[in-house]
Amino acid sequence: MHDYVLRRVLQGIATIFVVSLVIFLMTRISGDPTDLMMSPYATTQEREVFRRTYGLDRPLGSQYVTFVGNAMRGDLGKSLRWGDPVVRLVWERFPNTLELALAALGIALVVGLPVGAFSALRPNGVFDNVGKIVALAGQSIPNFWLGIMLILLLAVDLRLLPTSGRGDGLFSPNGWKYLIMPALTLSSFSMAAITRLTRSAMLDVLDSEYIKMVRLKGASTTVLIWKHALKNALISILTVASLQLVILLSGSVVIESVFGWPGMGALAVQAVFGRDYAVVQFVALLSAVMFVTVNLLVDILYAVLDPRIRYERSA
Amino acid sequence: MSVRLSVERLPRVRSAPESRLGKLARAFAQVPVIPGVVLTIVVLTAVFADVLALHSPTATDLEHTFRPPAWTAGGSWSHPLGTDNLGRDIYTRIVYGSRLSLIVGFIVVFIGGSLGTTLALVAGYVGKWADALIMRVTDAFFAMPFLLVAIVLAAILGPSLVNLIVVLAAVGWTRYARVIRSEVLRLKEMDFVAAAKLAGTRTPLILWRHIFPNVVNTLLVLATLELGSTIIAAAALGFLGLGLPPTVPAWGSMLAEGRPYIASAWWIALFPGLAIAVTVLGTNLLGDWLRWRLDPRYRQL
Repeated sequence: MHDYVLRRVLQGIATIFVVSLVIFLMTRISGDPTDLMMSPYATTQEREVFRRTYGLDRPLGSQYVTFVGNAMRGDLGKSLRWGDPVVRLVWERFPNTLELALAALGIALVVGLPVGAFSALRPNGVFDNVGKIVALAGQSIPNFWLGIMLILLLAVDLRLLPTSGRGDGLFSPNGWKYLIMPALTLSSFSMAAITRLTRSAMLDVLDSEYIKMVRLKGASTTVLIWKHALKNALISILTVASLQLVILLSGSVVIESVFGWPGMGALAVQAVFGRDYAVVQFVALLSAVMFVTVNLLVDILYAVLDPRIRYERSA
Repeated sequence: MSVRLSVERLPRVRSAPESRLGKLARAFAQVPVIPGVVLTIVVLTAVFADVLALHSPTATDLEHTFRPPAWTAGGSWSHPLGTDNLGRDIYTRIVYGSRLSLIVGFIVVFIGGSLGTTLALVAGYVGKWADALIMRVTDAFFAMPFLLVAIVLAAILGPSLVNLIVVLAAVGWTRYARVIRSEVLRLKEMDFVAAAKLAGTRTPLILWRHIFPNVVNTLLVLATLELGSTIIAAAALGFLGLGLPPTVPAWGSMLAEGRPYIASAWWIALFPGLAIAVTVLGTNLLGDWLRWRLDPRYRQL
């Protein structure tokens, strides 16, 4: 068990190092990042000063060592545009992205759980067909287009919801209205994933011996599903939900831009166009660290709950 | 649980062994109607774009801007799906856009699939440090937000068809590597691999002749599903104004052009998005069906 956890932690750390290398090299693929980050109208002298301040005149290897050293101390550089440290800049936007991701996950669960559970109960029934359509649509419709169509329908035609922004925040009188469309749009893919997963998890559970036992005891269908079956299927569903949350946090890049949502995704996209690569590097690094950490925790939790896994994987 | 046995699923008795081509043809004949029809239409549209087009995809016509679709008030059949803010024919641009989407989709899937599969074969079969190295790189790419990395690379490399393909392939190989590696891990313990090893077959030949043919089914399913997500990713980049030069009629950039006029001219943004959704629906349905057809493990679900 300890060996397994230790190995997974070391793998996670190694992964993050590779991520840092990729993120560092990203701005170097076209050669000198000076051209990327400075205005094309900058003078030769300004470029020289820029190179020296950011250490771009040193060899690539030593630049990377500095980059990692600074990153470990929590220094990911300053934004060229705002002049603030990027860590602070991104952390200011992070709660907004978290709010959006949590709302999207909530919608995905509220729709996906019952639809998935009922479709497992009656394969090829009404719910199963609805579920299949939801799953297929969520995976096929580009969510940024779905967002624009929602704006057309709910904001432009019906005038029910505001088109963009976050208003005065979630807890102001009309604040929640701003959250609905972006959250709904962002949830489309997760909704599909959770519906599919709940269905297959429930099918597995319903096929098990203890459910047959409950059936034999003559329990009502309601008790059977909600008390016995769903509770056991919930473990794998929650695992996927926690992974979905991380995916939603970093997957809201385009959606935030569509709805003018002031989160870290929209910040990153703005930064790309403003050649403000330090901001983008940090958003990418933060997302990767969150992804690796949650994955690691889920794996360890699984190993704790299910001994079969740790023996299988350490073999 | 009821078990249904259908006659056509039972093995048939054949006099002569069927050729590879014959098998392929029979498989195609069984493709379900919806994905079959959708994908045939998309492919034919892409191939015959020059014949199907009504106008030039790039010519602007400032006298006929914001014309609505033909069936609405003020529309005419010379512009069946209306015109955009520069008077360009939306139907024509969607027709040409299908060509771009398919070119980008197929090439990216081919490059990404080849790269991912090669890495998976080496990692899974050779193991040890090669596996550790390849899998950490794969994990790293998997952990980073794929679209954000694509956005950054596309912005740095600049807009062109080649760059768009490079960017999408550079972030799109990871799923093949992960899934196929686990298949390889399973396969390399099999007796036929041990037999090949005993016979003195060299490692590259074992990988190519004995392991690869056994992962082709998985690869085919993955590639079909990835085709759809590649088309969506390309459209997302186009939507942000990255990837292809702005004049090119790509579905994603058409969406972006229609967005500012959503309140007055909904058709500019609606139709290209519909084209993406229908195409990707086709590839996803085909992928699901292929998985069901090729992988017996999924049939019970």
